[in-house]
Formats: sequence, C-alpha cells, structure tokens
Amino acid sequence: MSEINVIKRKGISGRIAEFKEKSPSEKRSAIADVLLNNAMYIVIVIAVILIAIKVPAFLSLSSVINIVSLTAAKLPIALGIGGAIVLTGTDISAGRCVGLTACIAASLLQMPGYANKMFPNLGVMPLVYVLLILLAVGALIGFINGLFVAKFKLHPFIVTLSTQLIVFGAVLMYLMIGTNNGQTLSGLDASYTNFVRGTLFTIGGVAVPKYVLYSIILTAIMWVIWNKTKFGKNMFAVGSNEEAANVSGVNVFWTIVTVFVLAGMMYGITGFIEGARIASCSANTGLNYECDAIAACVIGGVSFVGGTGKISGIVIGVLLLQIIFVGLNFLSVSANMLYIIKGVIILVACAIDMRKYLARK
Amino acid sequence: MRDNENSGGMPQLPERKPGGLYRNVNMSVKTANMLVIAGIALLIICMVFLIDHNGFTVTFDTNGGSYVESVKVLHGETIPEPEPPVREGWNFTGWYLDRDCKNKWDMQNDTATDSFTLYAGWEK
Repeated sequence: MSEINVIKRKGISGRIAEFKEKSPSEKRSAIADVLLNNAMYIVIVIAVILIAIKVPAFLSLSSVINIVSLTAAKLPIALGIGGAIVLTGTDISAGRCVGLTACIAASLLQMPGYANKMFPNLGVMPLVYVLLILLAVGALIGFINGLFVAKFKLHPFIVTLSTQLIVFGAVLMYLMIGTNNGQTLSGLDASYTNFVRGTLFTIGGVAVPKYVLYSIILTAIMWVIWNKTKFGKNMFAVGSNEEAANVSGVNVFWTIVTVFVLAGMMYGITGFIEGARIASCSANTGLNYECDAIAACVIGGVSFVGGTGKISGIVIGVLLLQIIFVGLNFLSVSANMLYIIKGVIILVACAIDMRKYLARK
Repeated sequence: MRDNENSGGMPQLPERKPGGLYRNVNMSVKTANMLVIAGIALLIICMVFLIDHNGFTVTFDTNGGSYVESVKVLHGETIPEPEPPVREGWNFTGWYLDRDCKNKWDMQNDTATDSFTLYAGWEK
C-alpha cells in the first residue's frame, strides 16, 4: 500500500522523470503495461471519436444531456453493487430489486381517479412515506443477502441468485394484487413524476431532469461513507483480507451485512427514480440492470481482487458505458444486440482486472 | 467462529488467500496479456459486426388481422408505412405503441430510436 501512495505523491512529472531513467526494454514494457491496463478506455474513446465523426448529432447538446441523465439514472445501483464487489462478491439480485421497488412506488403513487388504479381507495401518498417504504424493502432484501453471505459463508453469487428469483416471484405476485391482473402500472401522480423527472434547469433549451441532482447527492453520500467513515475503512479491510480484518478487531459479520443493506437501499432509491423515469412499470422493469452496474464497476477499477475501488471510478465506468451505448444507438444498433457488447465488455474488463492483479503479484 | 484456532500452539495460515476472485488463477502475466489483447480484438470485432448489421427492426402485430412484414429502419428515420392489414368485420384505425391502443404512432413525424413493435388498432 505504501508503494502506491509514494507513486501517487510523485505526480505526473515525477513519473515521467522516473520513466526517462529506465532502460529501453524497461520503457517498452512500461508502455505496454499502460496500454494494456487502459485498453478498455482506449477502445471506448476511439469508438466515441469514430461515432462522433460519422454521426455529428451524437455530440449535440441534447444527446450529451441524454447521456448525463442516463448516467445519473444508472449510477445509484452501481454505487450499491460497488460495495459488494469490494468484498470480492457481487450482487445479481439488484435488477429485480429495482423492479420490485419501482412497481411498489408506481402502485402507491398512481393518480386518483385513474381507471386502472391498483389501490382504488388510496389517495395520494406523501412521497416521503413511499421513499421510506422502498428503502425498507430494499434494506430487507439486502439484509437477507448479507445475512446468508456473512453468517453461512455462502458465495454471494448463489445467495443473490436465489434472492433474485424470489424477488422476481414477489414482483409477479405483487402485480396480481386487486384488479391489476399483472398489467403494466402507469398513470402516475403528477407530484411524483414532477419530483423525479421535473426540470432541474435548462441549458440551451434542453431540460436537465431533477434526478440528476439526486444522483449527485447519493454519490456524495457514498463517497463520504466509503472514504470518511469507520465502516468504509472496515469494508476495504474485509475486502482485501477477511481473516486479517477479523484478527485486527473488525466486526466482519456486521460489515458484510451493512454493505448489502446499503446496496439494497440504493436499489430502493433507484426503484423510486426508475418508476417515474420510465413511467410504466411491469415485471420486466429492472431486468439485467445489474449487468450494466457490474460492468461499470469493473471498468471503473473496482477490482474483484477485493479491497480496491473508488467512487470516482464507478462514476467514470457508468459514464463510459452510457456513452458507448448511446453512441451505438446512434449507429442504429438495436438495444437487444447491445447485450453481446455488454457481455464482452464484462469479460474483457475482468481480464484486464486480472492482468493488473497478476502483474502486481 | 474461526475454525483454525483449535491447533493450540502456532496460529495456522489464514484459509482464504488474498486475491479475491482470482486467488486460484495460476497463469503468467504474458498469458494474461494475450488474453487481454484477444478480448479487446473480440470486442472490436463484435462492435464492427453489429455496426455493419445495423438497423432497428420494427415488427407489426396485427392483433388478429392479416400478416404485415417487419421493416428495418435507421436511427432517426420515419417508418415506411406498410400496407394496412385487413380483418373481416373490422376497420383498421392505425398503428399503436401498446397493445391497448392508447399511444398512436404518427407515421409521418415519429422517428425510430430502437427496435420495437407496433400494434394494429381495430374498431367494429
């Protein structure tokens, strides 16, 4: 760790001076190191430049704000999963969890008098109550995930796979309540859609939605939790070496549980935002959101080695992914086909992550 | 809680080696380099392939009417209006974005931004 800090303190000029002192062969391997470690960024930047040349509308103001809004919408879920990856685990229940919370939010906040209202006698609920309910639901699912991972030492893949299925079953059952009969939930109350999708401010006639601000606030909160609290330090300690953390007095059980509960609460907030953002929630809402989030985290340098990762990395990862997806959309690549790209991106990002680990070892 | 405390004297090595997901990976950095290069090549090939085979597919669900073939359009283009489907005893009212026929698709002005399905609307 101290070596990394020394390199950090040297800054760019120090690193260049150090580079100049090296022999030609060392220089070559150093360049190869940089190229390989940043291969994903290089490919994405080149792709973006090529797309921008081919379709200039890609860099128009409305397109840029669209990318920023999409990044803001996908950020909270990635911030939640990031913690699980720091613990060398992952969370694949995230997408379904967002789906469940989005459906709950939509059902509780339908406008009065709407024909297909799920709870016809329910007035307009205050947004705070709904948000608290979603946080509680998310936290409960996170607690179950964390409990099984921490107490029974089950691999998070298996635990969150089963909660994913259970939560999906719960979504399907929830959508059957009353006369809804599994239909899509829409007709949301104006107070809800305005709170989430309303205009924060306009730049050049293009509106920036309010959820961008909420996403920034959440990022700031998570930054403080990861970097300035005892829990954050414990999380990184458990991630890098659970046994060592245990020996040095860290409560491993509660650290793991809290990471998953925090992640669950992030999914709850994402569900709250997503419900109003897409405005019609069905059982398919949130499908495969975790793939984007995991890919973003790994691209952003949250390592599966455990104990390393930065909030800024996650933000960059989510942003890069959205840039490439929007760019490919401008080139008329169907969103369905993007799954192939997403899969390959996760694989390559993992290979790069593994290469960094092997090179350090 | 900890299983390795029962040996009495010397504390045993921790069970879990550091390295997280990769703690059992046993390959040289060179092999990993090749793996990264191969992966990047695969990513580029996939992107080129998809961009080469681009186009959004618009499918037409006629809700019981005659078959209408799907069309391919590019980003920001309007959809070429297909032959209206026929259904005995019903009049065709246009294409809609949802099965319940609430959001009508404007063939002249609406442009495609992804693959999707249009549903035929009918009235007696």
